This record gives sequence, structure tokens and C-alpha cells, in this order.
Amino acid sequence: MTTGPLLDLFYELRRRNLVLGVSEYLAALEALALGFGIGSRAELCWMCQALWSKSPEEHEQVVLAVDQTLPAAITQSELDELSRQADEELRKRAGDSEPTAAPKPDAPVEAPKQEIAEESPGQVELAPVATASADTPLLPRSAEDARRGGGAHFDLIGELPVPRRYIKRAWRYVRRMQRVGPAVELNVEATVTRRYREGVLVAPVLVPRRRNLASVLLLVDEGGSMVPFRPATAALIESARQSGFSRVDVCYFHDVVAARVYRDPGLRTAVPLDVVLRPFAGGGVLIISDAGAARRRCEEDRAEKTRQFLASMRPMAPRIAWLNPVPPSRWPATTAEFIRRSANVPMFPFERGGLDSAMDVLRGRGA
Amino acid sequence: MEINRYRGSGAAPGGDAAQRFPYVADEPLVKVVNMAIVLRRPLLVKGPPGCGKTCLAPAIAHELDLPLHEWYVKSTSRARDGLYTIDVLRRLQDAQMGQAKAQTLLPYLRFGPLGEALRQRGESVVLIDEIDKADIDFPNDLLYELDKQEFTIDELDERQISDEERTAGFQRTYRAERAPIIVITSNDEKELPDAFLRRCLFHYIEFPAADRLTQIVQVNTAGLNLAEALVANAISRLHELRAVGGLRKAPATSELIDWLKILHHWNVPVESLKKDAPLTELPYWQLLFKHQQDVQAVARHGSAEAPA
Repeated sequence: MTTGPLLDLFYELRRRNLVLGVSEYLAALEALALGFGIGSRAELCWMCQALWSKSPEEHEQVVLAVDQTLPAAITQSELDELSRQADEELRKRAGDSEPTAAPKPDAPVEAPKQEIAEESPGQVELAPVATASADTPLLPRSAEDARRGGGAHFDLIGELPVPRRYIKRAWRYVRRMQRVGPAVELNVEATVTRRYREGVLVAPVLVPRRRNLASVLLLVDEGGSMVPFRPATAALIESARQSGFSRVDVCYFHDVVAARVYRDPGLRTAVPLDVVLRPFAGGGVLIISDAGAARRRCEEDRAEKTRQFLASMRPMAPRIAWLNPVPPSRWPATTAEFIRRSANVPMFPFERGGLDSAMDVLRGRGA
Repeated sequence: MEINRYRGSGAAPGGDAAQRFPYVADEPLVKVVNMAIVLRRPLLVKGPPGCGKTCLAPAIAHELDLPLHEWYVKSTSRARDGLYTIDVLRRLQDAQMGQAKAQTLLPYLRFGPLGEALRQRGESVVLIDEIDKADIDFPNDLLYELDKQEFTIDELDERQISDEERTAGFQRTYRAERAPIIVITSNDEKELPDAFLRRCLFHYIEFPAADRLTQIVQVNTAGLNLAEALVANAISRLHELRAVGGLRKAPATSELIDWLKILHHWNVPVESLKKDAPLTELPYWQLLFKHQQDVQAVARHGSAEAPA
């Protein structure tokens, strides 16, 4: 079995947390066999985007992955454009001196790789490919390259500790289906039963529709040591809002959950916590905080305050879970450890397993 | 192999220019539509509101001259409604009245848009609009039907179907002879399940660049004979309005077309859209916004600009 550009790309995208399996790979082979994605780098990119990515963010990941796995396949026009830019750049730098072709420092230009698989009829050509030759133009980083992270020095593969899709799936399990609201759905069985009992059909038996009554309050630690985890918490919040709950609220606090929390991440509009909690009676509360673990602090008064507070919250909202974005190996000897032991609130790491366990607590299954 | 069947020009198969469908598709969209046709996979389209997600399916149907089945999903929609519904209540009533037709199910059976497309002999186009409006499990309930291109009427007993009805085309399981072209739109209000996403091709319609926007405006206002300068000015001013930060809903293609129609209707002179006039002095600019707070944001932006 030969490896080829498509397979490289496939594995690269899997590494970037796209949910891809064998069937997705086979679908791409089928598409290639039918004549899609052949001809140019852009076409291949489009095809992979259509088949494999499911959001604009993932579209961007495909572009990055194509750049990374197919450095050789630059189309002629791109090459022309780049060499024109190179000329301009050189002229600017060296005043009037003649532009000279210098050897390129990075991105070696290679011959095209072996073709993808036997299934595709004929060779799939990935654009006119630049081969290493004496007149290879100097290729400086274009503005486009710089935007994408230049030589990929800061390309943080797969943007979150837990992929967005996994967060979404975890939220899906928090459901509390009940029939509420206006009676609009026909209950056939009950209607027929009534007809036979009463001998005549007076009125049909209607029942309300099933709805998800689960509600979640997210209490998010903001600022200070939590700043690096913002993308992850943002994904968690956005995902919760799109998961069809009957109610989702987000409130922010700094370091210690106290009698007052804030409606905005800038911590400007304060609201009493009991007001925030009231509509969530019987619902779930998810606290997201590192509890001092990020800076390896142990402040007992902070932990004690938190413990008291959680204890006072529990009668109103018995389902409380704590997500800690710092790995558990860093919890010992910090406030996090103290809270976990004394407050009787289950604390989980912000990773796949931890997320699932936290959701179990929110839907009322004991930790 | 018939690749590149859909061209995205909006022209009907006869090539009659007068019957052009006012829809301009860019190259990636055309490619992904053709891919959906050839691979027989549903196409999921997302993008900002007012950028032509819903119009795509009618445009494909027009250009390929295929029947179109539209399914506008509501918050109460259930997956089965798209395949078929049975009017149980009427049947019960008829049975009570002693009517003979209540003996079988078929007089009370109605096919939904997807059901209609799957039982038809020829190819067709199905639009499943705003799939994210329904419950989050809704898309999962359609997986089998979308995968296998078939559906079964569970309530129907094969033996109940008389020979006449069979010749009239009724059966318990319908299997599509030619897979319909299915276009699904989503506004990103709810997350779609992974299993569903895996089966779809995905395309994101971006807000169009100025030249394509001009084209879109031209095909949508073909009958009005708008002055070119008016369109060009309106588009450049629209981009300025979109650049005002913090908008809840930035004006998109459909708002622009409405605005241009109004400008045309009231014979607004081209000069009133000229470049240096403040945004808040544009004629009928409020029409482009859907939220009071957006109107206020633009007004604030205007007053901040004014002293400079």
C-alpha cells in the first residue's frame, strides 16, 4: 500500500481532531474516482472541505493541513504571483540592485508524491508542480502565509483540550424530557379507549409535547489564572446554548464564588447569586474554575469560603459539578484539593472523561 | 459520467434568458452541489442569514428542471412528518359514522415532502429548511431514510393493500429509484448531531465580495433597470454599514435588495448615496437593520464620526 497525499492529509486532519473514520476516507476516494478534487490544489482543498469538515473552523483546519502536507503542490499562478512578490521585495530592500535568485531557506520544493490508491482511474494530478531546479524563484513568506501562522510555528493543532464536537456530545446527555405546555399531540390509544368506554367519540384525547426541561447555570471563574482557558470555556458556553436546554445562564466570578456574581465577563454588572439561582431550582450548576491549581496556591480561607458557599447553595441546586481546566496532577496541595475534599462537590478535570462525569452529575446521576 | 451538471448560472435547461432564476452561485458552491448530486449525499448549507441558503434548492431545481419538494421545519416538527402523516382522528370519526373507507388506512395517508421525493420515479430536489429549529434529536431520526433512500409506513399492513391500490402506486416500503438531491439549511441555532453531520456534505456560504454582490443584485432586480452607479454606491455604503462594530445582525444580501428596491421606488437620486455623506444621512438606511439596538449603534457611530 502506497501512502499518498490524500492519506497524509487524512491523518493530519485526524490529528487536528476532525472526526474522520474509514468511511470518510473511502468517500474521498470515491469522489476522486468520480473526478472531483483533481486538477489543482484548490480543488483538492474544496473537496476535502465539503466531505470532511463540518464548520467554518474545520474548513480553516483543512486549509492548514493541506498547506502542511502538500508543500510541493503550488500551482503555477501562485508561483508566478510569489515570484513577482519576491522581485518587488528584493527591489525594495536592495534599492536599485539587481534581484538575484537565492536558495530558499524553508519549504523545500519536492517532486509530487506517489498517487493515492488503485481505485482512482488514472493518475490524479495535483496541479502543475514546481520541481527543484536552478531557476526556482526566491519565495518569501507572503502576507497570506503570515496570517496562517507563517511556517506553522504557532499552529496549535486542534484548538481545544476537548474538541468542540465532544463538548457538544457531552451536553446532549443532559436531558430531562417531560410533557408540558399546551395539549396538542393526539394520544391515539387513549382516544380509542375513550371511544369504546363512552360509546361515542366526543373529543380526542390530547397530550402536551415532550420537551427538554433540563436547565443549566454555568458559573465561570474569570480573569487571572483562568485567562488561558478562555477558548475552552467559551466553547463550553456556546455549546450549552445550542443544546436545546429550557434555560441556560452564564455568570462570572473572580477566584471565589460569593454572594454576588456578574452577568458579564468584565465583572461589571453584579447580581445576587440567589436571584440567579432561583430559576434553576432542581436544575444543574456547573462551576468552571482552576481553584488556585494553576498557580499552585493553597489559601485556606478562600477554600473555606467556597465550601460554605457551596453548602448554602446545595439546598436550592443539588446538582453541582466542578470542572477544573488544570490537570489533576497539579491539584494536590492547592485550594482545589481542599475544596474537593471538604466541600463534597465533585470536581472533574476538563477533559473527555471528566466532562462526561460532570454531565452525569448535572443530570442527577451521583458522582 | 455526468459531472458538472449544475452550473450555477440560473439559466433553465432551454437556455431561455427570460426565465433565468435569480441566483448566483460561486465556484466552490457549484462544485459542492455537483458533488452532492454525484455522491448522492445530502448537502448541508450554513451561513449568515440572508445570504441565499434557502434559495439554493429552488435554483438547482430550476436549472436542472426537476420538481422541488420544500420542507420548512418548525420547532414542533417531527422527522416522520416529512415522510408521511396519517389522519387518525378523521379515520376514527369515519369509522364511527360507519363509513366503509375507514376499513383501510390509505385514504388517510398523506406524504410529506421527503416521502413524496422518495416515492417518485424521477429525480427531484428536496429542501429541508432550517433543520436546527426542531429538537436536537430530529436530524438523527432521519438518518436511515437519508442513508438508504427509502422509508416504510409502519402502520400499514402489507395484506391490507388491495390490488387496485397497489396498481395506484401504494406500497408499504418506498425506495427511491433515483436519489433526490437534498439541500439542508441550518442557522446554527442548535448543534447538529455528529452521526448526521458525517453523512452530509458541508458548505458555508460567506457574505459575497463586492463584484459577486453586484451580480447578485443585478439578477435580482433585473426588471427594474437600476442605474449602475446607484448599485455600486449602495454596495460600497453597505460595506461601510457592515463595518460598524457590534451589530446583532449585519445587513446582508436580502436586505440590500430590499433597500435598492425602495430606493428605486422613491426615485432616490444617485448623489444621495455618495461616498462622503454620513451613514445616518443615507436615505432609508434604517430599513437595512432588524434590531433597534443596531439602528442606535449606527446612529452613535455616525455622531462619533461627524465632528471629525
